[in-house]
Amino acid sequence: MVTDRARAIGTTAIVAVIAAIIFVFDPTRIGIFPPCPLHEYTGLWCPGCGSTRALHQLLHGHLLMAFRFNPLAISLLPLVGYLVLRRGHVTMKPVWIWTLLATVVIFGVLRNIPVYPLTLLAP
Amino acid sequence: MFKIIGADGQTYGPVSVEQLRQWIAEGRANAQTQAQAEGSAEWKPLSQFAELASLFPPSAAPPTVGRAPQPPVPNYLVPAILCTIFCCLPFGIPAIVFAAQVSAKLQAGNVSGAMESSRKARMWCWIAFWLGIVSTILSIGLVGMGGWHRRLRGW
Repeated sequence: MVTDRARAIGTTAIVAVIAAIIFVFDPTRIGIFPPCPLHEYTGLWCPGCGSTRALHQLLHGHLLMAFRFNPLAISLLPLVGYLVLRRGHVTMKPVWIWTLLATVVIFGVLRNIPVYPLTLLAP
Repeated sequence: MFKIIGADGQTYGPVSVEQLRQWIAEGRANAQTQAQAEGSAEWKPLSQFAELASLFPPSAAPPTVGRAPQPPVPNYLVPAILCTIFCCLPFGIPAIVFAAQVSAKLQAGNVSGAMESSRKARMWCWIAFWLGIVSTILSIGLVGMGGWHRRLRGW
């Protein structure tokens, strides 16, 4: 019980600190955030590119702006939150994990295609 | 004849073995219920009485309700998603693959296979994490060499 409680407090504290940093510093202006290695070395957008900027916008209440930086990351936030809260007590069917994987990969491919509607997916 | 202490702390009895058998069946007493044999001053759990062994057959395993409990094999799905989406690391993708394998193998009853996949999922999460750290350190080194503008565009 004590360790569960300590873990919960620790997790909350870490999330709060990271959220505070992302809230205060705009990633488009201040380069204190670790860069994406894939984008750094290849110039390609990975499925997560733009998620810090998206979180910054989300924390400021700008949902639409957040979606424009990374719709996938924002869409997955509720799922991640749910899984973290139900730590280990939820069993996802394999088919859903495969679906998630396919979504991530397809999203990563589509946002790199420089054709008009798809360019909206790039951050 | 035996006296027992009920769940309410009250003393009941003395009663016969047959009566005890019925109380156990009704859930009013169990193997841990404190009891005292008539003529003895000692209180001990019902299961400790040799003459009551027939009330608690050794084969009486705890009832299994529904399917067996899920073995605790973590699939590391959360760190895998976090690494892929929020650390921006393609190496989170093999972690998700192995997370899916953990669930699939658990569902098929292949616990040892699930544990193997679980280890691989954890390994890829750590690879993704440390590559992120290394790449951050490298890019900080690049800042002085004109890499600053590129840092601003990533992530």
